Amino acid sequence: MAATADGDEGVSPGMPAWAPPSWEQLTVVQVGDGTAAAFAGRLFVELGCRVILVERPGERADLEAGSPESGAASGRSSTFTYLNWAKLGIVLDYAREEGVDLLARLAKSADVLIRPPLAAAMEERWRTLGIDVARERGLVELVISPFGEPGPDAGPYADPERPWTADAGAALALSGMLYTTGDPAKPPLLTQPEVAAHATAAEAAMSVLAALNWRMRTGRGSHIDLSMHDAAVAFDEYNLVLPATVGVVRQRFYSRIIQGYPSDIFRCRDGWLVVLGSVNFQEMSLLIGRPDLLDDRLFADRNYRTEHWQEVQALLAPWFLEHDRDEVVARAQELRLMISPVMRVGELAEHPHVRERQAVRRERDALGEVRLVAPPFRLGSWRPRHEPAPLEGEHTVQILTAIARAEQGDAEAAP
Amino acid sequence: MSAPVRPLEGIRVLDFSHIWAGPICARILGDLGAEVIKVEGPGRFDGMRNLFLMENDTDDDYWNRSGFFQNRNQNKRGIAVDLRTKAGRDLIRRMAPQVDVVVENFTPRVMPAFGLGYDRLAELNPRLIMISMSGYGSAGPYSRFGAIGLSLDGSCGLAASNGHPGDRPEKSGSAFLDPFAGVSGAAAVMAALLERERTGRGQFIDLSQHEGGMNFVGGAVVEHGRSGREPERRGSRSDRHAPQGGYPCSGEGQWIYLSVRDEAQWSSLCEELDARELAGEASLGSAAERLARHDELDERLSRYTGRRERRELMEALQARGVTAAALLDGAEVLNDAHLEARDTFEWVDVGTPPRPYPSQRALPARFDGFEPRPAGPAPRLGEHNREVLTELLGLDDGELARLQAEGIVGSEPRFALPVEQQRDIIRYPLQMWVDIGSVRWLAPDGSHGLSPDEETAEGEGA
Repeated sequence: MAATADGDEGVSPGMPAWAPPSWEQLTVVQVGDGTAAAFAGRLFVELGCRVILVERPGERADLEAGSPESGAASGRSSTFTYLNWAKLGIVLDYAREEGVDLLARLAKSADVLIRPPLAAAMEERWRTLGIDVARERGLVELVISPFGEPGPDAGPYADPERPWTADAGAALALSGMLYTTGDPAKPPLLTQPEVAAHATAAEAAMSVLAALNWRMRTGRGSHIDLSMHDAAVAFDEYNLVLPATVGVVRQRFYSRIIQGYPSDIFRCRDGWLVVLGSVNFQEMSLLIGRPDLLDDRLFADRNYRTEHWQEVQALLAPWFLEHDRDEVVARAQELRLMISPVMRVGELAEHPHVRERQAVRRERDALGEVRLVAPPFRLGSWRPRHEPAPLEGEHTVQILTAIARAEQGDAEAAP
Repeated sequence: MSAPVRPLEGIRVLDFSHIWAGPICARILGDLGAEVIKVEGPGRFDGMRNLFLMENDTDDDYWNRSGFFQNRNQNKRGIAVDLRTKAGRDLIRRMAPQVDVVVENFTPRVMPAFGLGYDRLAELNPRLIMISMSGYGSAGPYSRFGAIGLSLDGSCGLAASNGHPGDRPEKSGSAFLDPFAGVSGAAAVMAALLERERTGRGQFIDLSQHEGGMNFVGGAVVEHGRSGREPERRGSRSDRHAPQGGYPCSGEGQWIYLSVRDEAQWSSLCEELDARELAGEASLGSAAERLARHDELDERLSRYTGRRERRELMEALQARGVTAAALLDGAEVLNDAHLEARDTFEWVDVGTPPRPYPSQRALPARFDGFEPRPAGPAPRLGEHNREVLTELLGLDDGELARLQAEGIVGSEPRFALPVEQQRDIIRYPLQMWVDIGSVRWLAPDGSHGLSPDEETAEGEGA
């Protein structure tokens, strides 16, 4: 075992303070239907963990209200199904004392708890319910909030008297990304769907896994405070590096990389293409059948090209309009040009690359076929899960009964 | 044995990656306590060394003065080994038994071509975890395609789902897929470390950034399978509540984002804006009705928001429980009081002479049991050649000198172009960017108005 950079020796791999079990033996409790928590919970489902979704009565109806998606009326909209596939579902009102008490009992039987901040009175109650002891014994508790857990030093957006509210769009607004996205002649453009929530979910899953590694070394659990705003800022280096290094501020300018043109989407005969300027952009002259332009400044000089971007656009756009998407992409890759297809969602499942990698698999639920995108990573132990997303409260009796039995000393009854 | 201070102490990472996703993955592991050794080549260093140099200064050893490189590679030790030589590759193979994790994001043919693919390295170290973070994964017809975050926006379905109604597809404004892959990669490595504890074996993780991006449209994939419907490009609007989007405020280029989720918030918004005509209009009394008239609603709301300063309006609406957020630019984010309270940025000296740079957290989560490594400098090119090769391989001065003389290791870059030409190429034409409108000057002297605390933060270093 290598010595650490700090000079301390870490725990020997032969002597963990906690021996991690198989993923199937790990229980994750996910509280609420928020996208960040749900996607984080999904990542643990795909690792093989048992994930229990806790919803308040009527929470799902509120979530699905007005949704145009298939299945929304029955509480199994497409997005809900995707995010909550293979989870167990219970209903309990954690806005009330009895519900908070039950939630604490559930948390103490779990390895990981992912939850939102509770109402102030409920948070106070929560602190009296022995969760700190559970954390000492290994529970990883992660709280996802818009701006961090409220507190006197938590920052103005997390004032304990009136913590601010935010969604994925607000997080992008305050992180600098919304300001710079879209056409300068149009309103700023929010990147959908809920990309800040997905970023937060990735941070959540990564942080929980860090905490499980910490548990492996120390035997102790963790309390983790994760803010969606912080997660969005962590993803936005590009806008922040500019003022800090070269003293300029990026403006809304067609969502382009500023240091080289093109960085645009072009229409082609049968769709659209993402076209990016790459180091060998001169080869673009060959792609469009204009070898005479190989050494033209528009192709050979990045700065000149960026300054005269309308001329480049006027040269490329008509050519792309006369050619098919996949033909252009294939030829561009041969020339090592950075051109990629804009794929419609409906194309993804049938695309040869996606099919060969089995990156979309087909399952079934009560509404029929369900096409599920593979998780961002699959370990060697990955196996597909076939259980559908839960109906509201589908497993409430089962889970709560198991908790009661486990508390009475039935070691095999743990939920 | 002393208690660990961070979760990944004792873990050694060899980081071959470059640009964004891979380096951020490795940096996260380093911030969590791992020892990270960044491997570059004297003839090919991480391209981020060329981007966003402090004060746009391309003199001297500019490759050691990049803000981007600093942010993604801090707290790593750096070696420069020419992997195009057998001797260079042999050095790496000799390190393999002492390494826990290898991170790389080349196209899939590269590491195997070097004889450094997982199969070869695992023979030397069965406990090794290797993560390959290529654009399209290690297998499949697109696996040989080059990719970066913005190109993947198109091929993963994200761009097709974005744009104004009736308008063309749009890329995300800030290449989400790169940091998403980086964070996912760190998660994957830590999951594999837990598995290794149980099984005693390492593994190869084939992370496709394209598949990561597809997760953003996972709900839409289910929907298309059920109904055949493609997601509509709806600008900044919600598909179920209204109003939502960006609204102009007083002052040029000033905007606020609003999202009204229920009737109580709608009433509060109208009250704050003193928009009695909107509040009193029964046909705007439900989300469905407001959605149907969103164009008209946006125009009418803009007349009210345009009279207000964005931050003042944000605070007033938040006090009423309405989701509202001023659109901040990059400099404003750096100066944000909330982020300052949360210690989001740490000052690090970059380059020679040292210039303070606000390095940002790669771990936005706050843990109660441990702190991430404090910010420290990113390595200069080949800075730790002697230290690492002596420590891991026991090389003596004579061997090191020979390797240096033969160009197998080094600390000076070898450019394909004359270095003065290289300097000209990477010096950014800032005024031209201002003239075409892609950026504006922050201040007449280019300063950002930030300053470090009394003492510039000094990290522990890798």
